[in-house]
Formats: sequence, structure tokens, C-alpha cells
Amino acid sequence: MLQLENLHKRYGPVVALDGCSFDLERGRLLGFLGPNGAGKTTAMRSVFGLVNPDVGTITWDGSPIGPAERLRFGYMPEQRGLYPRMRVHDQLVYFGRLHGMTRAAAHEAADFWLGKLGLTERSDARLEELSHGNQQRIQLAAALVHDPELLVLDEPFSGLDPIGVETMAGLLRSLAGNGVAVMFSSHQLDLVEDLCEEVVVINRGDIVLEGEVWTLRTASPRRYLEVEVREVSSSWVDELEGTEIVERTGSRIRLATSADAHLEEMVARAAAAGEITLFAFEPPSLSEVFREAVAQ
Amino acid sequence: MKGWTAIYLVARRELTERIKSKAFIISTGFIVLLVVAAIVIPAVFDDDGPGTLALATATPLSEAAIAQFESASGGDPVLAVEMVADDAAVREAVQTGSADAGIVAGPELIISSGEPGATTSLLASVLGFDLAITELGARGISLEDIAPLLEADIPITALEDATDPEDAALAFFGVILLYITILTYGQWVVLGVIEEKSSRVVEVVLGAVQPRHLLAGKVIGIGLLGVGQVVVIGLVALAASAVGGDAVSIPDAAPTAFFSILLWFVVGYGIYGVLFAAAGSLASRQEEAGNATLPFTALLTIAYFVSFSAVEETNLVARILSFLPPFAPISMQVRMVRGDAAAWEVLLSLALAAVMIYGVIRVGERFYRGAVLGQGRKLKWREAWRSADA
Repeated sequence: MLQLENLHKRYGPVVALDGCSFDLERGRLLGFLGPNGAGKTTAMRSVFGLVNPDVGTITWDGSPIGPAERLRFGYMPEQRGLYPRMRVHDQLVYFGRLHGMTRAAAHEAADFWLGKLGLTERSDARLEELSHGNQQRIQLAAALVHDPELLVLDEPFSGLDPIGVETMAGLLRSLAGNGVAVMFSSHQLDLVEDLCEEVVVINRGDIVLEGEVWTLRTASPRRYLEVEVREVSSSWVDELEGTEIVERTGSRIRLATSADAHLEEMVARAAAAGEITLFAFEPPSLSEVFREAVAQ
Repeated sequence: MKGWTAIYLVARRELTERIKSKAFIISTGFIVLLVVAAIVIPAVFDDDGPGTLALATATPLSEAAIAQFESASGGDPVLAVEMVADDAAVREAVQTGSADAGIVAGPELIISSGEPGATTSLLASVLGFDLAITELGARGISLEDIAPLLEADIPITALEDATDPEDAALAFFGVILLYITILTYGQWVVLGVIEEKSSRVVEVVLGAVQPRHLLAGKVIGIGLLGVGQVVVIGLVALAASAVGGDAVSIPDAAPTAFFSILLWFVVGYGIYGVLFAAAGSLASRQEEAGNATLPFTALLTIAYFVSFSAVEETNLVARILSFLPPFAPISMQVRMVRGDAAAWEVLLSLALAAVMIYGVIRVGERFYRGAVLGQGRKLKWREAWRSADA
């Protein structure tokens, strides 16, 4: 388990981390969220010794993280970078060996990941000859080649097309399923909502929200009702108490209401008005929960 | 993973990636070509045989005088005597340049203009000697009678050994080679450091490797390549001298020069490679490499110019610089090749250089560590020093 405890870091007058603490267990996929400049990258870099916190401890399975522990971690920084002129396969072998793999194991792993990412025939290409998307994949492979126990990815979805996003998401899910502790930062909250069970939200260097996505969403007192009743005027909704129309598209209506709203009564009224074709009662989206958390 | 394993892996990558690069192959080929040209071309031009001194005269010159001149000149130049009608014809021949010198009544030796050169002076004394022999003959004293007197030989002793021109040439060659290779490989270190920093790959590497191991591996890997190149150049130079035939001979000091250059390359690169790495880590783009390393390039350039002035003869400045580590790699090499450095002087210079290398590694590592994590920014020395703690 990765544990960050009470991290503080200042750069002159700028406070990057201000008491940041959270845990990440093996086999979990954690979304690390926060507005720009909240301290996400600083927190991630501190796991790899690229930042030394002024105060606080970072441990893996209860012991402080040193060079030996880091060899079992994989990191994909926000600012992507590999050796531009080095050949792709050589590059993966190099990173594998830097993480303590034998020559044979590193070659095998490089072949495996190039195959898995569909880049086998580009093995001998120089990195700079690859398209942007393929360079991204190699960057990911470089973080994975040594089969890490902890994987930290800074904005892994940025710059990917929808197919790339789907592939990346599937890969992260399967890694977590295989017992790897995975955390990634992202601004694409819809994606995080679909992908992660857990999120941690950081703002101004401190954790302002953490927990399971569904729990965080349902903790809000607000609810949304999306409803469509075929071929009737929508005037029936105006008689609903404790609701407010947020959006109206034809006969489809989105209403804001509260968690203690009488759901049965609403269903009954809608059924009385006509044939129900859509009826969805939802807590606020992760995106909304996030906005509320960082607005405070 | 042990530190040494990390250093080995980094060094190996630096070495293999560069040895495969076109830039390295081309630059090595170019330097080798330059060295061969520097050795072979002068040998070819030098091979035009002995010169000739054309001498116009109206009165015949004795066989003995001609023989004496050529023995004194060592056969270079040989004397080409041209008989003309009278003194007027001699003057004309000298004036028009068809003869280098002429003998007119007196006897008197004439040249076209300027001060007489060494050969003309030699000719004048031979003629004077010949005149004396003729006079003595007229008084009944034969050359045989006085020959023993003429054999009295006054030895000449130099108070200080003059530098053998071949040694000076080797020292000169060493100065250029050391200056170029230390600078070149220093620049490679700088560019390598900046490439890693500007491409951000350093973030991924430092997740697994400690900054000091990355620094050491990089400097060692590129340094080994440099040693290899110096050895290749040295061997090519020796081979070119050998196949050059009689025109070029391998100077006696060549093996000494070879090892001296190699030794001082290692020492010089040890100092400058680390300094350049630290300087390079402050920069964020390739364009800043020159500015970042300027102070160190300047030191090496001072050593270069001072050593040039001392190729023939050591002066006080060159002697002092040969002990000071930033300058010693070039300055002491010159003194070693010329054979005027005592063993203790070389050892002292090496010891001081070793202290300096230890110092630059300690200090350079700190700057490097502080700067390389600067997230691709350009830093000042002071910032890098401070952020090494951060």
C-alpha cells in the first residue's frame, strides 16, 4: 500500500502541498483530481523522489521509499519524454534494465509490450519517427516494462483519441485487476467517473475530498430527475413541489430536486400525465461534486 | 540495484547510442583524415631533394673549394658553378636572378640585395680559405703541410638542451588534439545532459536511477568513447608516419607522447566533463549550451594558447600553469613530451588534478542534482545549488 502522510512543500512563497494525505491499496484504480496548480504533479513526483517534501512521509507497505523500492514503481510524467533518437525496442530494454531486469527478461518484456500495443513492426524505429499517439504508447510501455507494483500516471489520457482513451482505460482496469496499485491524474471527470471506484481530490495542496465515487455522489443532498412523458404538454411538472427545471429539450425535462424527494409520488404523477419513456433519478455527477469541493 | 550497475547501464547506453550515430562516425573519420593529411602532406612537399646555389664567376673555382663548400653545407645546397665571360657578365647574371651569387675581381662575392644568408656567408669563408691556400702555395707551403693544423676542432657545448624539433612538433600536435578532444567530448556531455532535460526523459530515468549515478554513467560512457577515439587517432598517426617511408620517421618521443596525450585526456576530460555536465544541467535548451559552458571553455582556451607559446621552450607562465589542474592537461603534456618535466613535477600535477576532479565531482553533482530536477527550466547556479536540498 502507498501512503502519503501530511506532505508539505513550499517553493518560496508558493505553497504546493499543504498537508496532503491519502492511501492507495494494491489492486485499486485511483483517480487523482484537482484544478490546475492544486499540487497533483508535486504529490506524484514526491513518490519518485523528484521532489523532497519539507514535511511528511511517504511509505510503501509501511516502509519509507528509497531507490530500491522505486525500482518496483512505474511512472509516466505529465511532460512526456523519452530519448528522441533512440530506437523504440532498445529504449524499452534500457528502462527495463534500469529497473533491475536481466537482459533476457528486459528483451522479452519489451517484445511483449510492443506486441500488446500493436507496435511490433516499429521496434527498430527511432522514437521521433513515430506519430504522437504511438509515442504516447511507448511512454506507457516504458512505465510498464518492468512489471511495476505501483503505477503512477500523470494525465495519461491527455492527447489521446477516443479509441486510445478506451485502450488506455481497459489497460489500467486490467492492471488493477492483476493487483497493481494504479493512480492517475485527469481532468476528464466523466471518464474518471466511469473508470475509477475511488477518487482523491486535491485543492491548494490539501485533500478536500476522497472516497468511492458513488458514495461521494450520493452524499450530496441534491438529486436530478430526468423524465420524458410521451405526447403531452410538460405542464404537469410545474405542479411538482420542491423541484426546479434545469433544462427542457422538447418533452424531455431535467429537474433539480433533493435526496428526500418523494420518488413514488413523482412516478405516479408522470404516469398520470401519459406514457413514461424515460425516468432517471440520479445524484450529482462526479464533475459537479468536484466543482463544489474545490469551490469551497 | 547497485550503484555500479546503474552507472554501467547508463554508460553503456551513452557509448552504444553515440558510436552508432552518424555524427560520431563522420567526426571521427574527419579527424583521422586531418591527422593523416597533417603527417603525409608535409612529407610529400618536403621530398623535393637538396637545393642548388647558382654561382656565376669569370675565374674558375678550385675543385677543393667546391668540395669544401659541399662538405660544409652537408650537400644542401649543392653548388652549381656557371662560367661567364667577365665581371660585367657576373653582375648581370646576379642582377637578373639567373645566378644566386657571383664572384668578381677582388675577389668579392656579390648578391642581388639584402643581408647575406647562411649559405652565402659559408661560401664567402670557403672562398677566403681557398684564397689563403693559393697564397700559401705560392710561398711554397702545400696544403698537406698545414692539414693537421686545420683539423683542430673546437667543440661546441650548449648550456641548455635545445628542443628537438620533432618533440616540439609532437607537443604541438598534442596541444591541438587535447584541446579539440576535451572540448568535443565536453560538449557531448553538455548536449546529452540538455537533451535529457529538455526532452523530460530525465524524470523517468531519475525515477529509477539516482542523479549521481546518472551523472557518473554519462560522463564515463562519453569519456570511454573519447579514449577510444584518441587511441584510434594516435594509432593512425603512428601508422601514417610508418608508411610515410623515409620522408617521415617516427620520432623517438612518439610513444611517450601517445601515452601522455591519453593520460592527460583522461584527466582533462575528468575535470571538464563534470564541469560541463553541471553547466549543461542549468540550461533548458541546446541554444544555451554555449553560454552555460563559456567560463570553462575559456579556461581551456587559456591553457591552449599558453601551451602553444611553450611548445619550443618553457616559459614561466607555462611552467606555473602546468601545475594548475584546469590548465595542466594541456600544459603539462607539452612539458612531458619535450622531456623537461621532472617525474615529481608530473606526479604533483597529477595529484593536484586528482584533488580537483574529486572536488568538481562533489560540487558538480550537487549542481547537477539540483538543476536536473528543475522541470526543464533554465536555472542560475545559485538556484541549482539551493534546490539540491529541496
